[in-house]
Amino acid sequence: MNSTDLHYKSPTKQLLLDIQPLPPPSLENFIEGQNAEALYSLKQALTHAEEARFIYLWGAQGSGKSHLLHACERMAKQSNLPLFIADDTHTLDEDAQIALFDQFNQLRASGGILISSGIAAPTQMQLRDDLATRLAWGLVYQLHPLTDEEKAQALRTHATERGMKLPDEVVEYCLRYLRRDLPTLMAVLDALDVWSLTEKKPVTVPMLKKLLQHNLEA
Amino acid sequence: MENFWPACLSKFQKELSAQQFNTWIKPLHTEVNGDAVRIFAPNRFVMQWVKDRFLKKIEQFAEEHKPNIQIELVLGDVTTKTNADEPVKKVAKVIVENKQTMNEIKSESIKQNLSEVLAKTKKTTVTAHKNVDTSNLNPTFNFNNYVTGRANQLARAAAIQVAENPGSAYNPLFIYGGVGLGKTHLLQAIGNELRLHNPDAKIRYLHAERYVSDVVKAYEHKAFDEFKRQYHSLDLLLIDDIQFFAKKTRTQEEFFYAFNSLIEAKKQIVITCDTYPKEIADVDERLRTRFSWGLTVAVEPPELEMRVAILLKKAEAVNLNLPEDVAFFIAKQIRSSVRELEGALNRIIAMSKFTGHAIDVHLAKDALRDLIAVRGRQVTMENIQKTVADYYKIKVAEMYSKKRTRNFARPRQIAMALSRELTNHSFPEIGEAFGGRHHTTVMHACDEIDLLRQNDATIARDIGFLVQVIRD
Repeated sequence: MNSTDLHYKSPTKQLLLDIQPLPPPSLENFIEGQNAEALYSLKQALTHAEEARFIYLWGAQGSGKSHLLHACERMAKQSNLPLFIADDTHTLDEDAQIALFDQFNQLRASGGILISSGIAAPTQMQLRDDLATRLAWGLVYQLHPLTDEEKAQALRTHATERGMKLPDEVVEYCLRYLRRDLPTLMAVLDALDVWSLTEKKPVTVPMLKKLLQHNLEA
Repeated sequence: MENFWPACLSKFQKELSAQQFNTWIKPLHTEVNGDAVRIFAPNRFVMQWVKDRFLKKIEQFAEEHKPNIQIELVLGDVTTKTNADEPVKKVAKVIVENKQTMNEIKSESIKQNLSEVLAKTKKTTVTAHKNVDTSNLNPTFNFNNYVTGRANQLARAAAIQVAENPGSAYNPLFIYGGVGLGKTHLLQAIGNELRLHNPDAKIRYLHAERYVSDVVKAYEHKAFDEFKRQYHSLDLLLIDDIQFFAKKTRTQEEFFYAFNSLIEAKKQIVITCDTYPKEIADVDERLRTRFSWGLTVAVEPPELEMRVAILLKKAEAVNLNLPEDVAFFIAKQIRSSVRELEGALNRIIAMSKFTGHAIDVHLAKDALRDLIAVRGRQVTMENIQKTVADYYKIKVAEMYSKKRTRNFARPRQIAMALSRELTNHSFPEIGEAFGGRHHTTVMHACDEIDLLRQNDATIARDIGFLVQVIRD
């Protein structure tokens, strides 16, 4: 089951207006799990000029790289920080790598922050050596995916932010019967929320089962 | 009093590079009140940076401008200012431009964004060249803090010779070696040393990539006369990573003229490259020949003792007492480049700061894991099934079969439990992948293996080994 399939479509009901905008990614609503130091360093970089200005985050899909990068980008925009973001560096082609390399040199010479990410440690991605060693020169953090307990915590936090009541047995059910990557879990939660608002009924395990059934048939 | 800040701005504009000026000085805003000048920084980051690097200069200049001026640096927002006259608008506009310039690259749109970014950077440098010091020298790179060992002593000696006798010792000096070995440091040190002896010398350090874009820019603006005037009038040209000239015919041609003109006028050229002249790919033969006219020296990767020395020196520079056994530990782990060595030390310092633990080998080991970890394979259930079957010498097909004898059932259960542990699949999905078994069967298998791992050392060891094999 794919996270993108999980949209509740009811032919008979009027579609809800999207009155429940997702809370934007922030450093505060990131469930840190074992990534406390990475989170701390990002905050430091964005608030204290004297701290490390080059941070590279890596980890498997779903480990939270994009969340953190977007959060930093928003923070930087709000307070007008000279921040440069480079996401998914492992996908950069030769020209883009040279451009990033050039940007790194300029940032290093004249100030500014670079936060970048990729799926592996800088020197393990077949990037140009000159770029890889530059990325490795700053602070390098591997982001560790959340444990099941931490995922349960993430679901609860997300639900609270949406103003939605989420019983423990629903969380348990999700972790037991669904794919446990965060995007899937979050998508299910959002679909549940929409369903519950449409039906005007509280979120329960039978409702979740019905939603999944509905989704499979659709 | 009103003209103090504009005068201060123009002074900074002359002293700093365009990017530095636009990032740190232009966003500042002032308010004059009698003999007091209040400077507003748009955010804490800029404030700290200005405080550390520029405030002394501002105060010094204020004193020259008019004695007893009070300077105060505070956090504040430009938009909250009421007297939004023309200069203020200009400042705001620069901030916007700057924001865009520094903003972001995403892989899918990276080229487009970068070309915009580069276009803007180019624009600022065009105007900058008229009155700004374009040496691009970073005073933190000098010969004193350049750690020397067998790997680089020749290069260092040659560099000092050149800095002391520019244009006459070796011209050009061609330094080559792998990435992250300190070629840029040497290049910058030559510039800084010469400047020390001769403050009026016209020096320019630049990365080859910048030279390429300067040529493109001159081409676009039909400004080759200006371009030539700039480069041909230098006393010292320091050009980094010349291998970036590959396939850039127009750049190579321009550089050929610049090279000839400088050498003829006995002006010094220093070049770095990742390989020796004959080996540079896709660069004109006549240039390659010229590169070896002077002296060609190599910078080799540092040996263990030198790597340790580099770490200790680096630690000393940030007032850190790095235990020698930790330095040896890092130096043994990271062998290839000085840059990665510095990255490792940075990370260890950050971890020690964060956890509050003293730096020892144990902490270093933890910190380095993120830096040198080899990416594990993508873990799939097929992969788990195959690895477990191989380990217990049974056919992969037994993973899906209905046979329930112990020598098939146990490995199957282990594979199920590992699928739960190492992938994101749900119980029903795992059951499906193991011959269409019910999800409760999988749950039972996981519980059972969990129990066995706690009570049976052999099973626990087997599973530990399997996890390692599957992950790597």
